[in-house]
Amino acid sequence: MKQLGYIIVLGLVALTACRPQPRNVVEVDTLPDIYPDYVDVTVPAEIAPLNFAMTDDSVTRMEVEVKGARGGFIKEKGRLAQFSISQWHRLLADNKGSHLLVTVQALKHGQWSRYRTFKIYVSNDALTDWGVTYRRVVPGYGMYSQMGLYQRQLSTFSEKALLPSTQVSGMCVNCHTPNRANPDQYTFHVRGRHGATVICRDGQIDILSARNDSLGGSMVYPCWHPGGRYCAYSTNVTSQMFHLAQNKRIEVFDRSSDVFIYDAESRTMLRDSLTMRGGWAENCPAFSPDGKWLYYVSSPCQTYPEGYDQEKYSLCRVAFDAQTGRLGQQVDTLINAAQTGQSVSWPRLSYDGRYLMYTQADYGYFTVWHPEADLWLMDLETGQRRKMDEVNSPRAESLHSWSTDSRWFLFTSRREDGLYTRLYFSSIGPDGKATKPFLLPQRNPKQYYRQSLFSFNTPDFTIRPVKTDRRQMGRLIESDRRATTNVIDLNTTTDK
Amino acid sequence: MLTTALLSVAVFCFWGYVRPYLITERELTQMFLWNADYFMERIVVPGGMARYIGEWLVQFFVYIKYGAVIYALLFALVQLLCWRLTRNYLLSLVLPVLMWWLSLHTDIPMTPHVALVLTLAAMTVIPNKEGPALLVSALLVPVVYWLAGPVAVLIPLYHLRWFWSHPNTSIGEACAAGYLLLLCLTGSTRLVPYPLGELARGIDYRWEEDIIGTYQDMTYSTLLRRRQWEGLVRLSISHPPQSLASQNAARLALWHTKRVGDEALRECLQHSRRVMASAVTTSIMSNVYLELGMLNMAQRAAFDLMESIPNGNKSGRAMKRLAETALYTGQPELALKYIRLLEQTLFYRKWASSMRRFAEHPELMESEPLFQKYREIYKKADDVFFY
Repeated sequence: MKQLGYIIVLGLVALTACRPQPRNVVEVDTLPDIYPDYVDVTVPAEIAPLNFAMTDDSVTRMEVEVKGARGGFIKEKGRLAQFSISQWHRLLADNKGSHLLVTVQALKHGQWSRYRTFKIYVSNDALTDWGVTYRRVVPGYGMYSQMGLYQRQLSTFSEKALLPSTQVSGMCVNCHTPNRANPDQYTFHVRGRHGATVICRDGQIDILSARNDSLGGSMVYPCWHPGGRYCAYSTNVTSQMFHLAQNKRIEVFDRSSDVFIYDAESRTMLRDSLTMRGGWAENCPAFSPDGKWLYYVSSPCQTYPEGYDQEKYSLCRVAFDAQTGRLGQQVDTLINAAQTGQSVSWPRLSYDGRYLMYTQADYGYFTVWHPEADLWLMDLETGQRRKMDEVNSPRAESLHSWSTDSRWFLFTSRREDGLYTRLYFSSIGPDGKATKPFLLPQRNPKQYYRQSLFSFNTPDFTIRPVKTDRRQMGRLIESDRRATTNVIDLNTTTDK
Repeated sequence: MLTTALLSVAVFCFWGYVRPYLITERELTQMFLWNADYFMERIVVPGGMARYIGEWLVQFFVYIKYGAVIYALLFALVQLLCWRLTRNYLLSLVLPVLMWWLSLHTDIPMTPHVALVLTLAAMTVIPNKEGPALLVSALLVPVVYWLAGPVAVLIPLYHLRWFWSHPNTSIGEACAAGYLLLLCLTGSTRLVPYPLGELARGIDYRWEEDIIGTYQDMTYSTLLRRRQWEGLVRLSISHPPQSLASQNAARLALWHTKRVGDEALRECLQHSRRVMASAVTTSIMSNVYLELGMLNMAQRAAFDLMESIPNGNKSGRAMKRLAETALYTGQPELALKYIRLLEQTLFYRKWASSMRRFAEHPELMESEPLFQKYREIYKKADDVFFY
């Protein structure tokens, strides 16, 4: 037995000895070209290890040293810098509010090179949310084979399916939207043979019909009122057409769209002519964090295909009374598309009420297909708005959400290859400037993102894990039993 | 042995000469990757091993002869296993004939065939005495269920052979094995995201719809891919095309052979949803669009083809088209993503590697006539909308 032990130890020593150690290292005065690009990013101390590899596939080995400015040290060797989760968290906790110094040595064609040390800043702002929810879906044209709603813990690499399409055969599940990242209250939409709108409030699940004739469409893009009783939805009759040229693929547009309020307690749809005007397309509703305002975007309807690039949405808001569920009498236009010549979509307010982040593109609202789409930030205290150059790229940025403490935000971007959207995180400083965004960490990010043919879609934070029984949810959706809803017309008549 | 040999030859001739395009078009619906993730994604569900082996075999269907040989070997193996289990020549032919019939249906992938082989092979280790047989079956049922899927039901059924030969024998063993399988089945709903009905039917045993398409479309598709214009014209006379896509393929052949003008060619192209009704017709249209220089539509057809595959498989052939159209339309990073995946296949690797340099150094495309041609067409194309 003892002999066997010696043999194993000797074998391990021999194996280690065979691995090349850095020798004759050449100093290179450039930053290492790593994937994902974590150079000088700012991360919360709670984030999962930022594993990375050299972008260049001909690098066969790396030695990576991560030193905390306030102490602590990790060293990793191999093709991939793959850090231990516990060691990583200890190092980041010790260096909160400071930074890490990362030195990379890489072996390529038998030559070791040492690159310039870079920093990873560890924010003082904790990431208080547990993780994120998102839909994984192919960026396709209309067909889809597999997709699903997933949740991912941000401090580890653990991902869990909430409702994959295999559970509800052939269904398209989309737009999982929690109320202020609360996993006990959410809604999502199901398209397909057993189409439905699912509304879950503290364990009570209502399954509504996917289409409602009184709305003229289905309940598509939701946003919860902070009180939890109301949820604003857009109802869209969506179409798409396909470009033959111009380096564009798809135009998604609505032949009609409106915004209405759903009262989840009385299962009543509150239609108000203020946000359901004929000849206008209202879309992308969002409640303010105090619940007193409903923000949405609005554009004059166009004829298609001719006027597709003239569909420019303005940012509007209207008062909301949570006691009565009624909208106010007057609509404020905060950004007038007629003046800017640009189209606003996906307004999302930080939970502290300070900022409104939105996407701006040349036209339309389905900005994931618009390479020119960028994130913009409006300071609600000053009314000033600006393009967020520090996080934007030449490709589409879209679909953003705030963390519950309003210090962090996430967004999707097609910056890597122009098609597959990935999930990025950034933080907002006291000066309103965002930090360099970082890609959602993966255990082996190079392999994961290269292999994955899915896009990350409609992401949001979640404060705790979502506890959904996928089997029960699947059965409910496939049962075709749907809750009865009422419709009330409020018919406010005030012109914009 | 003579029965086995005759069966193998018959199977080989049938697939090699009577229904050859069923072989190549079955390959259209998958892209077997030689990596651990591909294996792990499959093995985590019941029947996953059968699916993995089935897809490993189907990757060779790129070539008709390879496919015919594989079918012949597979059917022979089933026949031999059946003979080993039943010692009856006639009975040993029942399952191969059933498999033959099933393999003509394009909505039935290779998984159930392989599952049957795995299950029959496992059954050969069941002892011939009831007590030990039950013990071995108790081990086999969960293992075979996980590797092969619900075709493991053959194990409890196999226990009925004693009852068959001696009607006074108890069927308790068969019931016990059956009950164990039922437990595995219901228990697996907690482990994998599939409803019970789907698990009972077998996850990849049968696709909901026959998405591949008709044999006539397959014939048109193959001739089109080989750019056999005269052959297509002759086929369109002897067997007039039934689907809109095959009509387009025939029209393209007529145009290439200067029998019709440009106007006739553009008929039926724009209503793409009607034209692309199955995987094969979508593949046809991707080729037609590419021939006409409609690169975005060729790309879209390839993408839709991949996403029409019900079991979530990708398509090597479609991904190859996505890579080349991404290069033509100036999306080298995207092309590189597809090329890296194709480099992990057996039969698309060589092509992918030859394209890598264009994705990594797009400026090299300027000196390649084929790239120049398509890139020029794309630059000059009017932006028409398709629906």
